[in-house]
Order: sequence, then C-alpha cells, then structure tokens
Amino acid sequence: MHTIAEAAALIAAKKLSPVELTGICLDRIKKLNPTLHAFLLVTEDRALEDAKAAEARMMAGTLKSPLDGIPIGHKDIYNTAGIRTTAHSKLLEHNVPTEDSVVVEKWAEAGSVLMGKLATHEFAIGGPSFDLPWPPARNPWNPDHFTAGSSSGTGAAVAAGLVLGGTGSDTGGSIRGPSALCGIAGIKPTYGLSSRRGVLPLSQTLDHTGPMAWTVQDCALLLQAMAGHDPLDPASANRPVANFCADLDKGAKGLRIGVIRHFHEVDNPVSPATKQGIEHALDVFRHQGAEIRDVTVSPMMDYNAPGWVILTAEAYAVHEPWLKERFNDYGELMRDRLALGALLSATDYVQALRRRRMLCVEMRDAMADLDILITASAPAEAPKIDEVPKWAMLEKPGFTMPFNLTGLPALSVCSGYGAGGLPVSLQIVGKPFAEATVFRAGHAYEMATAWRGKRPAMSIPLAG
Amino acid sequence: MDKDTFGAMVDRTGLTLMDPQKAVLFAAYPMFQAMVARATPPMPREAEPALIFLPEVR
Repeated sequence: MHTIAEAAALIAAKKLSPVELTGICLDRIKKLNPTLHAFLLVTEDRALEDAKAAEARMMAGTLKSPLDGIPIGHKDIYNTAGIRTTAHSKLLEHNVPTEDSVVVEKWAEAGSVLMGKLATHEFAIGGPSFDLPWPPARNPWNPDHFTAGSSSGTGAAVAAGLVLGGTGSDTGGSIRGPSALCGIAGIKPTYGLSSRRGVLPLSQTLDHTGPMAWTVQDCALLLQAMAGHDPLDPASANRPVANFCADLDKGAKGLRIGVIRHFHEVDNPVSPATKQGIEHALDVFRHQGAEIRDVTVSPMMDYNAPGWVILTAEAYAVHEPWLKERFNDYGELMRDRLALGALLSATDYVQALRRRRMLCVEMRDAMADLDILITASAPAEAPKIDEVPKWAMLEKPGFTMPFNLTGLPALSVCSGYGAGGLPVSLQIVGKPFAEATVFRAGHAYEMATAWRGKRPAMSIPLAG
Repeated sequence: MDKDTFGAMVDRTGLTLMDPQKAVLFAAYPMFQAMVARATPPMPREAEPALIFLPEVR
C-alpha cells in the first residue's frame, strides 16, 4: 500500500497507473467494506472516469498536482454535485446537492480520484448509532471496536487502505478522534484556513474542515490542496497559504516544545501505552535537539465546558426546525445530545463566548515562547463499539476540544499500539496558521519511529 | 429540579418529546448543568466575547 507521496512520485515517473491504483482500491472496498461500513456510497463509475483522465495527463506530462490520480473519499457531510450527500441521516437520505463544496471542488481540480462518500456520525455528532439508515463504521484494527467520530468512515477507509486520503470535519475532535483510534494522521487546521462552504454545519464557530491520511506528509499534501481564502465563507482567513511541505525534512532540532502534562496525567489520565507513547516522542524530539518543558494552563474541563455549551447551542440553532417537526427521524444519540441545547439560555451562550476569549488569551500566552504543544489526542485504545458511553463528553474532558475552542492547528499522529493491539496516539498543537511547524514536528516523529510500517491485519493480505 | 418541573421546561421549548425521552434527558441534565456552570464562572465586567461584531459584512 502506497502513501500519497509515494504514489505521486511513481505516477510522476510513469511507473504507477492511476487506473490500476484505482482498481486496487475498488477491489479492496468490495472485499472490506461489507465488514467496515466505511463507505455509504461507492462512486465506481466516477472513480474510473477520474482515473482515466489522470492517466491521460500522466502520459501527456501534464499532471496537475501531487494529488493527480490519487484515490480519495469525502465525509458524507461534504456536498458533492449530483452525488447523494446524507450526513448519515434519515433526514437527508435522498439528498442530492447541485454544487460541490469548495474543498470537494479544490481536490477535484487537483486531479484526485473520487471513490465515494464516507460514513460519519449523524450530522457529525450522533454516533456510534445503530438506528440510522446505514450502520456505523468499524475499526479495521478490530471490527468489534469503535472508530471514534465523527469522521468515522474516513478513519476506517484510510487505515484499511480503501483510499489514500480523505476529508474530515472537526468541531470537537472529529478529525483527530478517528485519526487516533484508527492509527492514522489527521489535522484540524487553524480556524479559517480551509473553507467550510458546502459542508453541512454543526456549530459554525467551532467547525473546521481538514484532511486525514496514513502519514503526516500526506496530510500536508492534502491540506495544501484545500487551504485558501474563500470570500463566501465568513470565517475564511484572507491571508497567503504557506508551503506546508517546506519544513518537513528539517527535523525537530531547535523546536521549543511545551508539554501540557496535566491534561493527560491529571485532568483525564491516559492509558499506560498512551503515556509511554508521549514520553517516547519527547525522547525522540529531545534526541533531535528540541527544547522541552512542561506547561500549565487551566484544567482541561475548563476548556471543554464552554466548548460544549457553544457547540450544543449552535447545533441546536441549526437543527431546531427539524427537531421540532421530525424529532424521531433523528437517531437517538443525535436528538438527545441536541435537545439539551433547547434548555440553554442566551446568557449561558454569551458567557461561554466570553470565557472562550479568556481561554484563547491564556493559551496564546502559554505558547508565547514555544513552537508547539504536546498532549494526548485520545485517552487510550479504541473501546468496543457497543461500550461507548452516550454522555461521554459530559463525564470526562476530551483532549481535542481545547483546540477547537482556541482555533489552533492540532495534529493527531500514531504513537504505537496498546495491550489490545490497537493504536494509541499523541497530539501536536501549533500557533495560529503555523501548520508547517506542526507538520515538521509530526513528520520528524514519524520518520524516527516504526509505527507507519504496520497496517491492520485485515488489509495486509490484500496489499497490491 | 423534579421530573415534572423538568418536563414542563422541555415542553416550553416546543419540542414534542414522549415521557421516556424526557426521562433520558432528565437523567443527564445534572451533568449538563454542571458543565454549563463550569463554562460560565464569574468574569470581569469588561470581558468581551470571543465573537465580536464586524461591520464589514463578508
């Protein structure tokens, strides 16, 4: 199984056929998707059409980008013109948009091959659910286990090699959670870096679009093709896009790294394997010449609480008409989580927004003389899919929400495997719009460790 | 808050929930209230919200 960077180099050298690569992925989808449920819709005809066009460009020497001829999938909250977009919900079961979302359009213009639409938690929040028109995605490392969400199908599909990359969206951790539990890389970019237009909203001040792939380098290539100012997205940042691959090979020497140790040791203590992964990563960075010190900010629940109040209020506002008219057409998890939003007051919402600003200032000050922060991205290996608590977000603080609240770029990378054989992970956080530094650290870590050499057992016999 | 008061509060939202559905929310409500309280501690009067109004509409 190739990474995007490897496949792009082979395609550029005319040593790999995009049509053959797409055929391999379609074959893998046919064999593994009945177990994984990663795809809600496979667009085989479109994929072959895209692949043939890419192959013609390859032969003509007119490749558009490193994504030309690369099989990808889109989370099913990204609008795709003429292709069903359901949000994994009965409410949009037959919805066919007339326009592509901006990111879908950008990746298509880059020459990627659209393989289909990927499973999500219902409207990017309600899951894992068993009462929707389609079953939830399963974890390729062990299909009895959870993928996390909400970009569940992308996590499963990338880990199993059904696609080389895909889109996710992240409102409280929906890119980094499934990246962590499925053992891949995924970045929530800085708020405003990539357009949200044409992506079904959950909570507009927390929603981010971003890529997921097997490696950090692949995430950099994918983000390069989706970032940029969109004048029709009110949150879009009007600033030049950096070259995310420029610093990839610089290593960690000279990086100033802060460790928010209390997040993963006190506020929500992680598993031994997760902690060991973080400590090993710090050793790797230290050995390469990074400066490392601990950082203390407010308890992680102080970041989660305003995050969830804002998310619940904004999501309720988005869904209120349907919740009032078609409450029982939502899955149980989605409707119950959102219904709590009806019980919030205007004061609750505004106070949470005021608290948000104070916490943004706190995090900015904590990073003033640092380049990146490190903590966990998930507490442990994936739990069994039927043992996920309904109100997990109320019970314990999550590691990802603090960086939705503050809008900072945050990358999840695989940091090893736990006692159950499933992946564990860590999170690398950067300053606003400093994705290149985040990628630099993540790539340095991946290149110094062996974790990217191991794939889920179910996918190995199918390797092309 | 007792179950009946909670049910009346839910009814005022305009959502039409059956009693078992209200019971599920009622059970989770104390945790939700705790989270709201944590999100809204006393703040200086001059603390601005994270979102501010911009007159230049984009």
